[in-house]
Amino acid sequence: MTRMAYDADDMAREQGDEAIRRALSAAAFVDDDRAPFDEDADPSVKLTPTSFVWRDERTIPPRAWLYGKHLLRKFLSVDVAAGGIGKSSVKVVEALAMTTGRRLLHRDVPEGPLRVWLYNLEDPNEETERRLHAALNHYGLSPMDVGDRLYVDSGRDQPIMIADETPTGARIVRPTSDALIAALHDRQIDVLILDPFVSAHAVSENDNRAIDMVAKEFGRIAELCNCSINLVHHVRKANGTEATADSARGASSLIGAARSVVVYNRMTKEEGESAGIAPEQIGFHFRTANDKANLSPPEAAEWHRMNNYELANGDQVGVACPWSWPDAFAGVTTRKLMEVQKEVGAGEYRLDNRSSNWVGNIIATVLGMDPDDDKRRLGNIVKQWIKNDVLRVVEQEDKQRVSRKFVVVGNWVTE
Amino acid sequence: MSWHEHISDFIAAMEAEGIKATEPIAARLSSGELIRFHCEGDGKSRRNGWAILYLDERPNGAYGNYRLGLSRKWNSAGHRALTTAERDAMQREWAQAKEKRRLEREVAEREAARDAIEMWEAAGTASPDHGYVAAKSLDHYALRQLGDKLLVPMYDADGVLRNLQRISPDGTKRFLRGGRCDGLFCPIGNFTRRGERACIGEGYATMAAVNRATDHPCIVAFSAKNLPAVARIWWDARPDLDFVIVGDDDSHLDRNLGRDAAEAAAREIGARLWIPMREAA
Repeated sequence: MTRMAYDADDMAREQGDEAIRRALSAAAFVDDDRAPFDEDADPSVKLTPTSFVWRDERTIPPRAWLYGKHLLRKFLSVDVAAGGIGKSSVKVVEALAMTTGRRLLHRDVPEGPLRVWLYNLEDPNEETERRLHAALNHYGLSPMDVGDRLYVDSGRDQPIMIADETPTGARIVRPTSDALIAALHDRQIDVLILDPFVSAHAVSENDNRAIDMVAKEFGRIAELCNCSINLVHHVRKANGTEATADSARGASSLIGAARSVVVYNRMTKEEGESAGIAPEQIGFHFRTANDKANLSPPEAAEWHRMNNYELANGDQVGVACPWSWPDAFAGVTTRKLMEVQKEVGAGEYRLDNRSSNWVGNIIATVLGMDPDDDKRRLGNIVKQWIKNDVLRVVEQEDKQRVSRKFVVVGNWVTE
Repeated sequence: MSWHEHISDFIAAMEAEGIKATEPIAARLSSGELIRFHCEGDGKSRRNGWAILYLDERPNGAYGNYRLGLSRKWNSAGHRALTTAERDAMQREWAQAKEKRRLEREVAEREAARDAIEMWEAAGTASPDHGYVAAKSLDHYALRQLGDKLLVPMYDADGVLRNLQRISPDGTKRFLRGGRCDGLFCPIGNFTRRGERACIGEGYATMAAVNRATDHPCIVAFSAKNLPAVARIWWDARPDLDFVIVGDDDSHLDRNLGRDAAEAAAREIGARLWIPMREAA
């Protein structure tokens, strides 16, 4: 029989109006591929709201932070960075910090030496080995300090594919998940670092539901194995804007599932100038900040610098090192401030740094700085002294009777 | 080779494939737009032939026949670059032809709309004995009948009657010749409550069946091609409604046109989609 078109009128004729009513009430949105609810009622399934009971807060177990306020036992955390910024080097140094229990970068290791599994899914093992040797030597550590607590693997030798796509949708690859759980249990791993996240699954990065499923699976593994899982993820093309947790590439459900997200940003040209860094050195600096500290207080940016280390085999390897923002007031004593106040009190100095009578010029003279090279630092000093009211801004007319902002002495400082 | 010769070659290639137009198409082909035409072997009033021809520096085009299920691409073998004068002349001719056709279409649509109003006013309530009304169990009070033709009104977004679908007792359906179809629809039932469910589908009998079974107000778009346009109009006018696009299952065709159009419309306005399914054997 020739097959013909089939419409609602045909269906009403063949299956009755009730079939149409039933089918239409179940009409779904186009991309809604959830299975229809077709199970019989099960009275054994019950949900009961639990009445909250107040208890002595000292008996509530404290959060088990493993590394600063970033890695937490039983939780998932994410590091988000653009390619080539130095995140893999940071991860190597962090692995050493955690296995030795020392504060190598900006974070403490509250529980002391941890067992860390550093899993680079992109680079060959030799590359991680180079970074580890360079970092170990740079920080003056020895293999004895690390002990048997460090595990290192490469996805090239031993890939991890926690989820994949099938014709009916994304699924968790159960054997891989089970093997990971067994390995974490077996070695009693405290922290698993997977770098990068994209190589740990084969589902669409933009599919919120699939990525949520993968993130939840890692969360479940962390819970089961009483460890922290740290995923390293890439940002989408930022077009020069600063990266935030929202800049993470693909589905936002990954960031939603993570309890802590650290974002990496390169030092900008302006920041470099402000910090007095030579233009050719700016590219070696970057900062990290906890951008989703929903369990911890917000942290200020932590600065890093990539330093070069030459291995005994002649290879040049970058090592991530902590770097501090230069203090604008380094070397500025009370006596120097008093001297500045005396000079300012004796003359007429303007607030505008384009003026030849800019107050920064006299400060530079007193402090022995270069008014041009140290302009930003001088600007910061002026700003801070005005804020502290040791200098004050007043509006008055200049010699041409034009109203200008002048800087005068505020509260005189005494020793 | 002049572009007149390219058109002759194109028509000759069509005829060699068995697509023989029964009406002059050369001038229309030069417009560079898709044209429809009656072919030898087509039923009366059918225009199963289609063609499009681009007369640029490398003349090429495509043609086909819906009845024969034929679709072919064509390009000129002996092409040469057109001279500037030839190209200018051709473009002028295209522009004139296009403008002429636009005016003709507007006139035809206006006349069809006037005819539709006259016919609708002259028609009486449809007879319950009309072959199509009886076969499809339609509510005859909602329709009108003129002679043996059942009339289904086709309204635009402003509620103005612009065309009619005439249905013969045997189910043959025709729109008024030259009348506009794009964006026209026929509502069934009452749109009374905010946020209520409303269904949009292709045929009148299909949507009448949905309305009868569910009491949901329905909208007839008259063709798969017109579904997205009608869905857009209603989404703009009544964003509060919970729309369901009811598609026809054309799985007997090489491409499931009914499902594809319904899915496209549902995606476009964020509506639910329902395609009626045959009972499992």
